[in-house]
Amino acid sequence: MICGNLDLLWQHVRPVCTARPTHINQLVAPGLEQKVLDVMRDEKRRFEQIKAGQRPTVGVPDLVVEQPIPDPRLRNAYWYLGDYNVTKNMDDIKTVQEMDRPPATVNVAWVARLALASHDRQVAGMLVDGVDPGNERQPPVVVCHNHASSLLAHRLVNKCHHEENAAGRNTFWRPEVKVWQDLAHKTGGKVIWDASTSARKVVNYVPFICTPLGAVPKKLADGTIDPDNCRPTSDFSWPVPSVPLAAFVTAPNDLISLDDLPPFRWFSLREFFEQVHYLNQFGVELELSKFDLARYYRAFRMLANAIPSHMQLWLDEESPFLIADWRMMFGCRAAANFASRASVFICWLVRFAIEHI
Amino acid sequence: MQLAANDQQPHANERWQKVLQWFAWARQQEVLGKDSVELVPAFISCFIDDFPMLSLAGFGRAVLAIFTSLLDVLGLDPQMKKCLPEGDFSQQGVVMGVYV
Repeated sequence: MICGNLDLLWQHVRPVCTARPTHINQLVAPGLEQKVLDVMRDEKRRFEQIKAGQRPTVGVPDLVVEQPIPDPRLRNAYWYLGDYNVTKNMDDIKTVQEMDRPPATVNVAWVARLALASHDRQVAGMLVDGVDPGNERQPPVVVCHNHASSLLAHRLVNKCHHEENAAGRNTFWRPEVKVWQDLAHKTGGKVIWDASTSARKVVNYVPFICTPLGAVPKKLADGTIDPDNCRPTSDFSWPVPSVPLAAFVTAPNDLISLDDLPPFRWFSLREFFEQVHYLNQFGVELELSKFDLARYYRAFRMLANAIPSHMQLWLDEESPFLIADWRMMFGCRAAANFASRASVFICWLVRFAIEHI
Repeated sequence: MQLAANDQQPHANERWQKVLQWFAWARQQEVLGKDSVELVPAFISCFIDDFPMLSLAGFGRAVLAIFTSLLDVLGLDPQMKKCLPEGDFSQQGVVMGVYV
């Protein structure tokens, strides 16, 4: 194999493994947790120095985890610890494909009925019940990645992360978690952090892969983004320049049926404004409106085989934390692609209705 | 015509007169076999969960009715709290010189 990430991807494309871990040490390499916590603790110290107006003296090394799963029999799958974090019951550990996927909140019958008449029939199957493709343990694996969008929309990403954290829907890991647990016996048995009651759960996703292949610029203490100051992330978007990722996995757009696809052209926002001025010159009065949909990504059923392509180390006012949101993860989740296709489908329906009424 | 009859906005008559003349002219060009721009009463775009819409004055309510009916049928909810504050339509409308 050409590189570590591609190797991992290739393993994910292969059928999910049937072996089951009997001990956590088979899944999580001993000392790995501490390694991550050490990096985050140094990052926190650096963050506090910046907050105090000092020049940071702590150098934070890149976090590189080449093989987080010690047992070779278990390396064919992505594992989700989930309830294990609380119960410590090995039966609670699942593969990503076996994770609970809440049902769609959209009107399944109508989405399917209308989408079957549109150019993108697979949207119906994928978004409402994940029937085909992307059903349980079935290829293709779908990978969608875009660093640029998460960077450009960093304010929105930060706001979303805060909302998701507050609602307890994110999984994230702070350096204090371990510290609080260690301190519990020193504070007269007072438990400072309790996984079973806290809305903020420990990270329940292994392997967490942070490689130098990709990078996201850091958010500084004053809220600005420093483009020259990057954090390493895993990046499956381009294994090496001569080998396209499409040779190994399926891109979401590959699932659109080109036979039925109507011709369309990307209409930029600039052209949108130009049209307004153009029509105004002709004396045609116009109306403008805008709709924004609520909890759009979460209205659909998550694909069993969609994987987040990186985890982010994010900063807030407290400390750095590792974050992985299986339902959303702006900029690197297939959800954005499928939601966009559903939006095209809605626009197509509106146009269809206007033409026929 | 029903939309035109129900339009209570200022200068509705003149506005609808111009729109109807425009449509008549476009139909005439089509009959003569001349190339002309297709007249679309409303244009809807999308960016993930944002749906900006541009329509000829007078058509907007009808298009919004179609759009919201579709959302209702599909089981999707608009996020009302974001429509006005973040859309900032009053500003955009002033800049572009259109009704909001």
